[in-house]
Amino acid sequence: MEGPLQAFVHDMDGLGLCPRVEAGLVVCDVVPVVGDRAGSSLLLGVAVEEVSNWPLAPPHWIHLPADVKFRATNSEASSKPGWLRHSRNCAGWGDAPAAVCWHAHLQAVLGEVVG
Amino acid sequence: MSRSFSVAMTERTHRALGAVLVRNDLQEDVCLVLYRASTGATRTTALLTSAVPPADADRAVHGNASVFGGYILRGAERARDDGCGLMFAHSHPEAADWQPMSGPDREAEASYANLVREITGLPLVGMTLATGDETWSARCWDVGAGSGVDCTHAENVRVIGEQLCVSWNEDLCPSPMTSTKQERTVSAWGDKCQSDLARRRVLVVGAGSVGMDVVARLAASGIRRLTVMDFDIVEEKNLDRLIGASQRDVRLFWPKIHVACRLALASSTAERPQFEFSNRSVCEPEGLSLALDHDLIFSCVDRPWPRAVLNSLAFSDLIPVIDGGIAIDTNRRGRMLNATWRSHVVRPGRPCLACNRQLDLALVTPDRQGDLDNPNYIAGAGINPDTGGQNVSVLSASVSASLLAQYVSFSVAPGGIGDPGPIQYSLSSHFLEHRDDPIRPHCPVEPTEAAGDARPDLSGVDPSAEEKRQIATVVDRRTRALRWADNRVQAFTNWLDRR
Repeated sequence: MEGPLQAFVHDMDGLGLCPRVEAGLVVCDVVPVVGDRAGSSLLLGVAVEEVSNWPLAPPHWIHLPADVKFRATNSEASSKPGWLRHSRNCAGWGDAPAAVCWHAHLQAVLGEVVG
Repeated sequence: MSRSFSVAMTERTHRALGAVLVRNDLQEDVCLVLYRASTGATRTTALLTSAVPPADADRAVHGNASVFGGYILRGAERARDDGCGLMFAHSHPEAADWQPMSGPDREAEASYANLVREITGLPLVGMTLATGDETWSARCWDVGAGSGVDCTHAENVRVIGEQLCVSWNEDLCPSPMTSTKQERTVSAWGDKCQSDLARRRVLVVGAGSVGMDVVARLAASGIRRLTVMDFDIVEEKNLDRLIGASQRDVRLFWPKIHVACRLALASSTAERPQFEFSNRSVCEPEGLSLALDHDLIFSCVDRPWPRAVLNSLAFSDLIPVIDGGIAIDTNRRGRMLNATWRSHVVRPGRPCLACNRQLDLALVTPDRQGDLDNPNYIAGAGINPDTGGQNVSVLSASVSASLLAQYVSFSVAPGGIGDPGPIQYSLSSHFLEHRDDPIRPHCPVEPTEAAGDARPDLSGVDPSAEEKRQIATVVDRRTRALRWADNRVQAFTNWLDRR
């Protein structure tokens, strides 16, 4: 059995999100399909330590560059300089594979980005 | 202290093995099975995974069965490739009860023990199925090497299905004597059942309003090997529900397990109870390791992280978990609208806690990181800490009753009916509903069945457990003196109870 980090990276790679580990984060390129930034690639990350439960439990905090704004958010400083982490609950796994549900969650989060 | 050994399998595996080992012509047969190890604090369990049935050329059946080396070699190489150990099973047609090893049985298993360990890196496990009553016996060839190789006999073999069926090694776990104190209990389900239940290692995680009640009733039923795990201390806000706790427990900063110990010893009807009380969290590696020593677990906790850990163990380590909880709905003026309580046995073949909507996996990571206790996070997330968590002692008794009813069905199978599946009781209409939440097609927990030590590791440092243990340990001199006096009074009460 592969470890949770490898499994997460493998799953993100399968979605074409080009995952790599930077500053304690697994960083991916995601192109939002809705919202103000629809169509342009955004860099986001999740903490490696939060991936340790994958796929039994999803990560919680979404790390984004500080210039990415939301109308309402619960954010704190990120471990990556110049970034913030935003509290976002993934609404369960549903009936699809974990990676697909996680991608849908990321799309929902990025759909809220303004400006 | 030497480690004990046990074997666990699902009913599906038991049936697959039975299909090979139980022959219509009443001859002996053999079958290989892969296993994974589950290493607890004091016990190692071999979790059977997939059978490697013999081809005709793999053995000769002549009343007894003689296995050929090529079959063992093939099985061992497959086990090595899958990161597993190898189990060698044979049948004793029409026999009953735990089987002692005959000379030829011992010789056959010993002759392959070194080879199998050499190839797989894990000791050979031998098992015998007494086909007369489907009792298993087992041993692990983990002592010595070469011509001095020897085995550790298992204390029990567990088959997990609609019912938890346990085969007992009478030499290691002799049937406890029943006494007049248990007369009514034994008359309800018989000597054999009482003897089985009394020997099981049962763990209650969480000594709150439900857990404390469960502990007292299990102890009263005659269980000998009961463990209670809780790191929390008794607080004033617990006293409206924590039966058995008093203001003195609050004043003396006693841990909840102290109250559980008092209650369990006072309620116990077992002759020599072997109760253990742990101030660990099941989320900590030590707590998880202790949990793996048990045959059955009661989950009486409401936090997402420990529930996720227990949910995982039910599948990865084949330890059934009896779980439940209560939700009370109130309106904005605080009036009760309804209360619902649910109970379910979490095990392979039934939906996991996430599939049956009793665990929000999204909350596991924030709980593990301490966010759900962080005032800044709570304020930022707009969570009102005063909402939720409503409970009343007169209803928590219904939750514990529901859990215990699941326990009886799963263990005793009254009328031949075992685990009833998830059930929900609605207080306002007094309606009992059998829930049929399906196992989700991509459930991440189900594929970890029998993973054992290769399970996804959800354990880690639990800061809230460390904090509570610190409060319970670091007390002033006056409290220490009062605790000493309290312990003396308790010791005298226990002595009177045991006379």
